[in-house]
Amino acid sequence: MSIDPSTTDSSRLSQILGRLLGILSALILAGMAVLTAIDVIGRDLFNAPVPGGYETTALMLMTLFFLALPIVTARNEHIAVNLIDNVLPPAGLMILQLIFNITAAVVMAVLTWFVWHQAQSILGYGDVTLYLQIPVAPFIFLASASCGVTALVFVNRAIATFRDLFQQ
Amino acid sequence: MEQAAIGFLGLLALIVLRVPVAFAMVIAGIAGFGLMFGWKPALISAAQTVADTPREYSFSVVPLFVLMGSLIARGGLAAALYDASFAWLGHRPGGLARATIVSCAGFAAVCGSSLATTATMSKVALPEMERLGYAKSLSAGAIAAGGTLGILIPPSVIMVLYGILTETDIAKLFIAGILPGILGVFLYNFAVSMVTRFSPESGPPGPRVPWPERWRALLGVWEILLLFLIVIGGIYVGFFTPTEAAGIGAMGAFLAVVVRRRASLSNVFESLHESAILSANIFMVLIGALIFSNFLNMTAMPKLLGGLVADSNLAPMYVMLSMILIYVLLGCILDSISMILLTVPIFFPLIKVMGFDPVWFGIIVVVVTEISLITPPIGMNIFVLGSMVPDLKISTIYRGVLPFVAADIVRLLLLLYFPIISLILPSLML
Repeated sequence: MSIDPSTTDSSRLSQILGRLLGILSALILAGMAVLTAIDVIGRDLFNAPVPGGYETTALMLMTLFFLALPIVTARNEHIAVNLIDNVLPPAGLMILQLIFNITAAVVMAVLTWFVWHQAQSILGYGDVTLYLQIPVAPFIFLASASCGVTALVFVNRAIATFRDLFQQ
Repeated sequence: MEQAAIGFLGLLALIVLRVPVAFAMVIAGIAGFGLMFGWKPALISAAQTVADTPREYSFSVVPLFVLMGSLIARGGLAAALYDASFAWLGHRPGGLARATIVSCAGFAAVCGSSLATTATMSKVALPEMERLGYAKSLSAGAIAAGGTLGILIPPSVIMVLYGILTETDIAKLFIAGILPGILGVFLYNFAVSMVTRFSPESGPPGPRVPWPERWRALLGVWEILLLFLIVIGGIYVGFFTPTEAAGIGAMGAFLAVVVRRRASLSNVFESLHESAILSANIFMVLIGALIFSNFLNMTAMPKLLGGLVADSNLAPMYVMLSMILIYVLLGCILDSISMILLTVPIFFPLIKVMGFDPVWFGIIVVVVTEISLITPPIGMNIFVLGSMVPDLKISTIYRGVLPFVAADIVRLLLLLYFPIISLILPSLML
């Protein structure tokens, strides 16, 4: 049997949220490709690079990553090694999963707090990007929010695993 | 030194206990740092890595090359590639297996992933080989082995990650992969010759294709040839950086899909979506690796290991061979991306101490990783192939892959003892 919890993210809200994050990160990736191509073509053929192309791409990359991170977690697609899957009984595997999900939830929650702190101090310095003067702090707040949502996803998975374990 | 060793063992234990590699590295890295210098600095440093790493412009090369490969895989170009290779090689003994290897190499030239190359080519090549009565072991072996070329022939996501971690020029790494990739194609072909010499019935020759049709088939893959010329050629002559090349490549792949009339909205969206998620996945492992290597660098390990190697009178080649042995062992439990991200921060300082060329070492690491993709117990390519073709037994694939593993070992030794094979092309770059 599968050790994945049987009822991940059954609530409608999280499904809609996951879909929305997926669409947004796909659009951002499309934007990165278009922007990079226009930047290179503009620079090499017309001697007119996109102003602030590099920093915009970098911020898009950051947004892409933090929008997609909760999805990877919700889908349980983080790369893992399944050496012991055939060695341990299913219940043992589920207990391991439960411990991991709780630990990961705690780690991500603590990171949420520390990244938030960092965002606040960057907000305090008023950091902006070199060329277009885009404020950096909102992106760090996004990073923190993403860690927070990821922590919640782990909590959700832990609850589902716990439930499955006791239904056995 | 003990701290680093304990940290590393703890990390391996977490990985074996099914903790995802990225989180195993985050947890082990924070724990190690925290126990040595206190929890607050450990968490501040980790948070900084989380917030800063994805904001690095040069890292956007990862999602863009992933997108390029994904678009090409959905673009229906695999069939054209196979037809072209078949037209030229199909009439020879084991011709379809040869065509499979060459079309895998062609696909690798526009795709940076071995798993995508294997998955895409298997859909085209396996039915053909089955139709002509090829032995299952030979056809499966040719695809699994040919697919590994995906990370050696540029572009290559693995090389990008190596370049990011070691601050080695990604452009040089890409160019350095070309000749070893071609060498791989020749040695794999030699492996096919050996198999068909001993059992001709396992790979009967196909019909001979007349010359005009050969050229027409070759023209059928003009998008791939053009895309490779622009992307890798552009890097070679210094027209653009690898990151820019990735953007151009993704756009070019999109146009190729449009030309092939495969550009339905849902097809393109699925490519974007799966690439975004796969990239986030890779980035999380990268962040984990950076947090863990922050901890390693705080221990005395890098210095001690370096000193150990410098003081010992071991020939550098022995050190190199032991590293390769470690890779082969780790390859048994880790996937290729985790393996690179985990080991390179430890081994790379040694490479510098011993005075090896970082580009050459990068190629060696990639080739060893290729081998680990098709050797038991965790040969990722073999699993991909097995999941694509459910009635194919994993044991059949392993049997079929053996001659190709032998070819890989020959190639590895050639590359080890003749670094010039890897280094001649990059040395000619401007």
